[in-house]
Amino acid sequence: MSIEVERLSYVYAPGTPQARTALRDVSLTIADGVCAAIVGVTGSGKSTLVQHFNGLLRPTTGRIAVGNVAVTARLGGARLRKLRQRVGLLFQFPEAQLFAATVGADVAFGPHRHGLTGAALRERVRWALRSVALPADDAFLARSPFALSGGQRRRVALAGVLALRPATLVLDEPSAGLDAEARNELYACLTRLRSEDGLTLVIVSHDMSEVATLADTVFALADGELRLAGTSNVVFAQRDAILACGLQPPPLAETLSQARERGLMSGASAEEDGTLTPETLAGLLASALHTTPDILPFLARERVGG
Amino acid sequence: MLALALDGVSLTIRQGEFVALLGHNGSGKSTLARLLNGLLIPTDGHVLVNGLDTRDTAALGRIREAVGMIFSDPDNQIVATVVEDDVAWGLAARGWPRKALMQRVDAALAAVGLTELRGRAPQTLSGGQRQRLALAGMLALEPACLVADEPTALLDPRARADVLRLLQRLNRERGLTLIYVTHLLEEAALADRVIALEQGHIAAEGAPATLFADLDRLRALRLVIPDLAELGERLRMQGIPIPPNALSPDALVDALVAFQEQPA
Repeated sequence: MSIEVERLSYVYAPGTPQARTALRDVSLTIADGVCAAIVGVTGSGKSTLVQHFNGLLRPTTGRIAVGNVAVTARLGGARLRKLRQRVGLLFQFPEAQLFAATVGADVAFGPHRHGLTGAALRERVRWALRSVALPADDAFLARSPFALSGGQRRRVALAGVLALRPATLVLDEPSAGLDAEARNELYACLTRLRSEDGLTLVIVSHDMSEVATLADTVFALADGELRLAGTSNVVFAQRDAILACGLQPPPLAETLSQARERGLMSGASAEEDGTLTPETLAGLLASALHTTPDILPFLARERVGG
Repeated sequence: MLALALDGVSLTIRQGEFVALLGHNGSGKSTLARLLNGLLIPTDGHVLVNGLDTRDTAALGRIREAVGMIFSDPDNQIVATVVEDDVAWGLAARGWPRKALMQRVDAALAAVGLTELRGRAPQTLSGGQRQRLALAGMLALEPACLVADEPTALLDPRARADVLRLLQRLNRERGLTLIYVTHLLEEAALADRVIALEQGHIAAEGAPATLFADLDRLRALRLVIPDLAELGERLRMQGIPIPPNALSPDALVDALVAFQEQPA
């Protein structure tokens, strides 16, 4: 589902001495099926922005359309319920919101509230658990969520949101506090949800490595304004602008920038369109450093031979 | 079933050392950190701080003078409503006279770079500033050793780098013994010595340059392998000598420049 934001501004506590403008004149488009990252430091407005995507907040001025639903101050009733079902929002540390005695009851809560019952509900719960690579058998459904590992608890929380079958998933700092294994399992789930179920993903993050791994489109906010927008390669190449937002470019992109700055890449082509991985960057650096005039290896052979 | 958070751990940390305790969630690293100043008391075995046993309740006061702690969430140890009052808290509780107390507070605020903000309310500071405030409260007591338990976990990248640089400087310039708990290789790479924990045991120990040469071993400890560690490994395979502890863009590019400039 596409999200179109046009000249959006949001003011907390308008008309009071505490009034604070959290978003100023933000325009952006998130296309259907992409994985977009919203990045920025604490207080830059990124959480305020994404809370508009399922109608938790309404624009002070400007317009926002999610699919064919306009998010306005008047939005309510069935259309709002529909929006909340279509756009799933996973807050930071979502496992803190698990509350039911069993995994099955926790995941079933949302779809049951939306009117699903009986066999259809049971099937939906199993589907959601399978989608996040958790067991969907009776024994697992009967377990207490509090007896699971941290990474499993987070995926149960994600299953609870997926059980509403959203078309768009908004995740706030999805891997914060997870260890390597749990983080990789979560990334694998998100990648699969996007490729197999066609979900649009919006990730709020200040971990640039995570953004570089998952996202194809990046929007950088600072002081409530949109400062950078584009594909992740294009955005991460704008090192000074990223630093001005208070963010660190991802380590691989930063290494390449510094290598260029210090004249190491003179022998290599200036542009590369592929995503930077340790493998591709090692290739670029090694070929730049090993570039020697053709005559040199020949002379070396002569010396060895002679 | 009896679950052991730590099992038969023995180690010595010398005055002035910078030691990283590295491990994934649940490896036992925070339990070990909390044993170092008697927040936890060993079920079996003992911890000696300058020869004082943490099991000896009469010695706990002196042990905690020597070993201060900061945690991930600075708000858990900020108590006052004004920055400088918060820094003064520990000394005031010990009955220090005002003049000597203010000298210590001034020095601690200067050390963490919060002098300008001394009159502010802590809740108006940023996360990184609040972590530096928690640190100043510790420094005012002039401990010989600081245990920092994932002090950058809740901070954004800029603040994270600031706090880490500050701790490194206190270790280098003032000889503060630093015990730094983390699950990040990039942070542990800055230490003199890394102690890697897994299931309550010391799984590996050594200088980062030695320990980080074997990435498969670290993968087996369920640690996140940073992109730059993999980049370094691949460059080494291609005959470019990158030190295994070069885990920042600066350090890595320095090594590349050195390689390029070496005589053929």
